[in-house]
Amino acid sequence: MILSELQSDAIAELINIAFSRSAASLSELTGSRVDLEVPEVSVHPIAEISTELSRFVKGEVATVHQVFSGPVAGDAFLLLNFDGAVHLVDLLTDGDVPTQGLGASAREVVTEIGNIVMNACLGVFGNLLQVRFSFSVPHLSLDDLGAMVNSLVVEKNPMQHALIVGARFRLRQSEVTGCLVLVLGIASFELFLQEVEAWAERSLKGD
Amino acid sequence: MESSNLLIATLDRLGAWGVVTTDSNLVVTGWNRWLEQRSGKAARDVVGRRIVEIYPDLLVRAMDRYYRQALEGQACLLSQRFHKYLLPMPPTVAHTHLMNMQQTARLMPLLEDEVICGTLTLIEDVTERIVTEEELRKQADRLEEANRHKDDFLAMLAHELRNPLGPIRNGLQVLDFIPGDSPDAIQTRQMMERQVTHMSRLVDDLLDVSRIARGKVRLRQTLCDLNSIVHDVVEDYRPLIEKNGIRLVLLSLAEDAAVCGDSIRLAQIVGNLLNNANKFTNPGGEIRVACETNRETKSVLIRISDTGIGMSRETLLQIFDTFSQADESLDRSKGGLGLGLSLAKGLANLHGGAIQASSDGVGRGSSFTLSVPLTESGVVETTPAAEPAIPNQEMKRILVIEDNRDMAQSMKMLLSHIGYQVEWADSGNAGLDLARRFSPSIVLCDIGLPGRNGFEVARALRADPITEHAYLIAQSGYGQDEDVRKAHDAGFDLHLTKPVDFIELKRVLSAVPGSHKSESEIDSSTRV
Repeated sequence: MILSELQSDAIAELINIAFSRSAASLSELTGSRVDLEVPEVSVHPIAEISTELSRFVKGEVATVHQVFSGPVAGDAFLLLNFDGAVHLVDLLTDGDVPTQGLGASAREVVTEIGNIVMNACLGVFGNLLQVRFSFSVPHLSLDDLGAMVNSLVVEKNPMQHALIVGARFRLRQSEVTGCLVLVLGIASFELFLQEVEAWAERSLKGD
Repeated sequence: MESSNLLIATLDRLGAWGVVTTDSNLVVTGWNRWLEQRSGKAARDVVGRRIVEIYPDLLVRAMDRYYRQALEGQACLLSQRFHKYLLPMPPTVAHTHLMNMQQTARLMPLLEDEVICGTLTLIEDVTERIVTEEELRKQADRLEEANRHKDDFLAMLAHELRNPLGPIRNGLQVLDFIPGDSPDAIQTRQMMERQVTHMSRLVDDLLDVSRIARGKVRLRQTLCDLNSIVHDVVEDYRPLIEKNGIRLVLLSLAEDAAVCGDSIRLAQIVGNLLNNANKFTNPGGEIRVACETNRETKSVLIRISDTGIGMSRETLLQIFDTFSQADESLDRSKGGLGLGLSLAKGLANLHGGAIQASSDGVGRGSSFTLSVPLTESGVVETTPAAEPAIPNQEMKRILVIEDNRDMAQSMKMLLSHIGYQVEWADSGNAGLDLARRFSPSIVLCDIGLPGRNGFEVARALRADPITEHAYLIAQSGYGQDEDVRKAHDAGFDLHLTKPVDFIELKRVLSAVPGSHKSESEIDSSTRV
C-alpha cells in the first residue's frame, strides 16, 4: 500500500500533534526540554516491514508494546536500539538510573516513554476517527530485531499493514532515533486512511 | 462492587501488589490487604470515598490526570524514576533517607461489557531496589573517583620519574668533555648520584606502598629505643631543614622508650613525617619534634608540629590516602610523589600504632602524632655502626649472569674497580659454560634469563663438581616470600631484590661464608 502525498502529509501532521503532546509530557516529567520529531511516515504489508524497520533500528532492540482495542483494533510498538534506549534513559534521567544491561528501573523508564508516545498517538487517532480505544498496559521486551519481526509476522494476519513512523527524540544536544509501528487490519487501515483524508481536506478548506 | 471484590481477592493471591479499584467517579470500590498493611488504612475506612479525598496529594502532584486518562480508556505505567510514588505510604526499608515507599504503578480502565466502569491500579513497592541502586551508584562514583586519582597519580609519577633524568643526561655529556678527576667532574658525579638516589627513593616508596597495600611487608622486629631513633633521624634531617631557614627543635625523653619494632621502618616513619613538615613549612618557620610516653595507653607518642601552610578540613580527611596528594589543590611545587604520609601510616599500623593529623586550618600549621605501643621491659637493641666493606682477597672471582647489558657491564666495572675479578654472561647457558671455565667463588645470577632461567642455572651449578661450592646470589625484581623460597629450593644461598644497592652488595660480598666477616652481617638481605 503506497500512501498518497496528501495521506502521507496528513498522517505526519497528526503524528506531529501527538509527538508534541508526548514531548510536552516528557519535558514536564524530566524538567528538561524534550523535542520529538517525525522524520518520515510509510505504510507496508506486515510481511515486508523487516527492511523498512532496519532503516531505523538494528541488532538488539528494546520494544514497548501496547495492544489497543475498540472499533479499530491493533498493536502499537515503539522500537529503539538497545544502545539508543540506554542513551535515552541516561538523557531523560540525567544519568540517575543505572543503565548497565538496562536494569529494572531503566526498563520502566523506557516503558513509560513508549507508553506516553503511543497513548498520545492513539489518542489523536481516536479523536480523528471519533472512536474510543481501550489500551492494554504497556510491556517491554528486549530481543533481536529479526526475532521481533518474525514474531510479528508469524502471529499477525498477513493481510495486516503496518504504519511505520520514524521517531527522533532530541534533548540536551543529543538525539536518539527509533520508530513507532502501528499494526492494523486492512479494513481498519482503509477506514483510518479515509478519515485521515477527510481531515486533511477539512484542514485545507480551513474548517 | 462484588466484581471488584472478586478481582481483588484474585489479585491478592497473585503476589505482593497493592490493588485499588474505583468506579467511574473515582470512588474506591476495592482496597486489598497489602494496601491495608502498607498504608495503615483499613478497607472499611477508604471504600466508598473518592481516592483524591483519601490522598489529596494526588491533586497537589497532578497525578489525578492519570486516573482521568484511565477513565478515557488509556492504560499507563508510572515509573518510580519519573514519579517516585503514586500513593504516599511509609518506606518499607529501614535506614533510608526516603520519606515514602517508592512505587511503580500501573493504571488501567475497568471494563464491563466494553464500557469503562472504573479504574484498576496495581502498585509495586520498589523501595528496596531503589536503595540498592543508589548504593551501587555511590560505590561506582567512589570507584570512578579512585580511578581518577590513580590516573592523576600516574601522570604525576611519570613527571617525577622523568625529572631526574634531565640532569643525569646533562651530567653524562659534561663528563665526556672534562677530565675525570677535575672539580667539575666530581661535582657532576655528586649531582648525578643525588638524582639517582632521589629516583631510587621514589621507586622504593612506590614499592613499599604496593607491598603494604598487599600486606607483604615483613617487619624485622626487635626491642628498640624509639627515643634514640627519633633523635638520630632528627639529627640526620637537621642540616637539610636548617639550610631551608627552618628552626628544628627536639624535645627528647630523658629515658628510653622501648618499643618492639623494626628500627629501620620506625626511622622511615619519623623521616617521612619530618620530610613532610620540611616540605610545607616556609623559611623562618619552626618544626618541633616532641617525644613523650603515655603510661595510661602504654604508648610512645612522637608529635611533629610545624608552623607551615596547614590544611583545610577536606585535605585532612584525605591526607593519608595513597593517591590523594596528586590533587592539584595541594602544593606540588616541592616535588615527590606524596606517598610519604600514606607509607608512614601504613608502617605505623604494621607496628600496632597509628598516626593522627591535625591542623587549625590553612596557614595555621599542622601536627602529626605517631603512637607506638610501649614495651614494658627488655634489653634495647643498639645497632652497631657499619664497618666499611673490604673485598675478601680469598674470593676474587665473581661471575655475573645478567641479560641486561647495561646493568651487567656497570656491575662488572664497579666490582672490578673494588678488586674482584669479574666475568659476565648474558644468558643461562652462556653462564654455565663460563662457570666451568672460570670457576667462580661467587655467582650473581638474574632470575628472568633467556633460555634457562636463574633457578635452572642454580640447580645446574650445584650439580657440577666444579661449581657446586660457589656462593650463589639470586637477583630478582620480585622479593616475596614465595620468590625467596623458590630461590632456596633451586640452591641459591642468598636472594637480593632489585634494584640492588651497590654499597649493600659490597657489604654482602665481603661477608659471604668463609670470609673474615661474620655471617650475621648478611642478615639484612634475605638469606635463603
